[in-house]
Amino acid sequence: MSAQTGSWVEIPAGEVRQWVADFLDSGQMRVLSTITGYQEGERIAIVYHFVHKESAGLNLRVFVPLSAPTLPSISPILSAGLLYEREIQDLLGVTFEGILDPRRLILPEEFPVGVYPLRTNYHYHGAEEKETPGQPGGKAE
Amino acid sequence: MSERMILPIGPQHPLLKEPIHFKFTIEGELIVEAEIRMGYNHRGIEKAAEERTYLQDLYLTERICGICSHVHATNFAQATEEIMGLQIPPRAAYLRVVVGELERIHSHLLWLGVAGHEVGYDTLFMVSWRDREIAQDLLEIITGNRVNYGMNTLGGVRKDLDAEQIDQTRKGLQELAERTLYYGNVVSNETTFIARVANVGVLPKEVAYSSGAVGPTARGSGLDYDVRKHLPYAAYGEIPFEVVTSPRGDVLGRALVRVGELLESVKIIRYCLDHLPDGPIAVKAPRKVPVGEAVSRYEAPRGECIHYVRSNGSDKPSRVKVRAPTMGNLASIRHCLLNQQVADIPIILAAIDPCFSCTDRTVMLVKEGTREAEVMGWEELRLRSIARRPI
Amino acid sequence: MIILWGFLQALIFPGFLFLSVYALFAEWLDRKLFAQMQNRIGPPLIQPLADTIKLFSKETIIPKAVQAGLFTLLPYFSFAAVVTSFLFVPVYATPAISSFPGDLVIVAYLLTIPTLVLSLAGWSSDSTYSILGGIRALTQLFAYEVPFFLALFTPALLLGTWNISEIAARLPGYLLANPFYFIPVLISFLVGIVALQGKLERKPFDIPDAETEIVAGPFTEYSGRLLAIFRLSIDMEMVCGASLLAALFLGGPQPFISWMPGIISYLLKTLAIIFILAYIKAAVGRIRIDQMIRFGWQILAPLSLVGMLMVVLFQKGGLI
Repeated sequence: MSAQTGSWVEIPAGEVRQWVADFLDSGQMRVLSTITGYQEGERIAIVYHFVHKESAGLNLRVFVPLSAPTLPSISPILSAGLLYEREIQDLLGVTFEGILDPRRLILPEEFPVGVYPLRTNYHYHGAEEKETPGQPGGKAE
Repeated sequence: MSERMILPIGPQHPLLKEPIHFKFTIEGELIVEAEIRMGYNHRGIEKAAEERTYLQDLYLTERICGICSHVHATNFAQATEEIMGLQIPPRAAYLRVVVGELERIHSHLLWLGVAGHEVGYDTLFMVSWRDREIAQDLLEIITGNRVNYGMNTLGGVRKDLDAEQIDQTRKGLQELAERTLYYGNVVSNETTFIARVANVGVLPKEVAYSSGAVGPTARGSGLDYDVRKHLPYAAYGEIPFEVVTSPRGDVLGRALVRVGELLESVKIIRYCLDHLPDGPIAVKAPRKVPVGEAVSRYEAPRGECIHYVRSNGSDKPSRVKVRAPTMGNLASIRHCLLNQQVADIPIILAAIDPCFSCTDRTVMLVKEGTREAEVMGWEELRLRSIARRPI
Repeated sequence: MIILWGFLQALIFPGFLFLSVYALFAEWLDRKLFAQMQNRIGPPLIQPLADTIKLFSKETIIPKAVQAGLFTLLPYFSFAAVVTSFLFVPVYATPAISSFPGDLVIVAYLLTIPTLVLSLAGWSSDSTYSILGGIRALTQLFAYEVPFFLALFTPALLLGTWNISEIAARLPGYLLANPFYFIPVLISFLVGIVALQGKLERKPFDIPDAETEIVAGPFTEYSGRLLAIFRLSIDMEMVCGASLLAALFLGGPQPFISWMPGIISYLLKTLAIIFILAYIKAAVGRIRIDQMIRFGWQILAPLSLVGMLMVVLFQKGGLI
């Protein structure tokens, strides 16, 4: 794996705040690049992408079950995490306990509650393919 | 006790080039509270990327943003190439750098003009955008387009540089270098400009660190982090250049950083043209990607851009995550805005060089007069964009 | 007969019609110079006229929340004030259409009305951007008005008369006879030009109309006919201000070369002032309101006082 991807660490979800606090105290963090969430079957993975001061990436992965997607927020100790956690709350329905600002970030207010676009069970309700003017094979105008 | 007023800015406002919503609470001319609401440009790109092949996603990610399109395309290509285990040829790496640095030049000149316009200095705006055309012309000569270059492919680049293009690039760079020195002079010495940017929107180093600021916003506060230096990609490991920082922490500091980077970019491109290795410009990439995951980082003009790609062995990625630099800088904006004056809002916002197209990535239609909402899927969006009569 | 003649003068030349045409020309010149200094081409000659016609032909939208009467009348107040003040400024010969002792004070006050109207317009528009713009216009008034008045009154003090036409007629002769007074007149002239730039709300003092911050300031809610009248009154204010400065400091229609007709002399002088105003506009960015106040009181006002003091000490003190 390249230096950009760096190394991977996996810990239980409940310990994430303590781990990040220790990492911060060690002074080894250069930046928190972002936090990714993705669904894998019956669980959701949250990955915290850091850059280590020794010029390498460091990725911290935790899992939460789909039935109870909750874990502690790191925003109280690292404000950089706030916007990323809010985005995951919106798109994946994960709850970060103790988050400094739990409001919706990118989904509009009218978006239905309980619907999480990045989950694998969410699909667009697309219109059927129909012939429209201007497409090849469509009726000439 | 002066009365508080709410000043809404956006999503449509002359100061914003892209939609975002701010709710400022002001007392007279002083900002006492700032709330940010984003999402107006959210297009559901990450979800859409899961339903397209890797090559289609290369073109999809390129269109996340117009100003930094090469950033996203290269970043995605790098992440995918790592999962595939591909090593791109050295000539391709250098060509990616050339286009990337030209993009940085045009983006910083664009920023300079926008900053000038935000403080009412229209002359700076007109003149810097005139010079930006030099960079745009070079990009058109090399890649065939002014934005969305289509330079990358999985495994390398698609276009090569011939001797005449190299020659024209050198000439253009000469002119750009002279103009940049002029702008450095303006930014450092012009009284009305300095009066508007010095000690405005101060971001202390610790706040920049804890809020995850990146790019010129962070380097303008003395934080020393440049992906090209600390996590080199493409050909940056072999190219000598300086990371430009400023200890000032205000908008002027960020302006000085960007002008310094303009000069460094010219040097980097010259080095690349002088040391361009021979060889092929791409290797063949497999259609199916092995199971794996990779993180790729790129120093965009606005800061660190990170792509994270997960592959489940099929020809479509199972997750593509993009965090564009502006999102990283958005958290620091609130600190910069509090206790500043209303007149300084535009320049403070402009100082992080926001690109909200990069930042947002579901279109909602609200029926007129009601609060009913309808989610529009990709297909429908596509139909609406090509149909000639309203549907 | 005299009344008819006065009427014609007021309406056509050098009154209302001449002022309108010159105002549109001045706007074109300003925009063209601004563009050329930025390496652009700029608009064609009839652009300001085309803009005015276009605005007149558009719908005038009056927001529901405003008092329609006040909202509609305000542009006309500003317009009337500027046109009236032009009656006292000599154009092709001295005396002007109307001239009497004390008309300098009247003109100075009349030219304040557009700014007051602007603030009222901002307040009555009832939108956050307009209110902020109106407040800024008033605040800015405090910065440039005192230096402006002091600068205007210096030649009056020098020649011992408050009659604009008389000042215009006598100033060149007086200065040639007593060349020392070039200095205070020059200082006051420069202060007058900078203060005029503030009064006209042009860069670097276009704070009430800061497009990138408060959309269009007090003008945000105005459209159609009303906006056209406002814009026209601002263009006329520029011509009026330039003519006033030309009359007070440069001798107005009094030519420096004896055979030159008054109107040519007047045109040359006002065009020179407009050129200077356009140059300042192109060369700088916009400053903030607190910086403007500081600039007005720490630099402009003291300078204007210096000019005035020189006149008082040396002339009245009998030194020169």
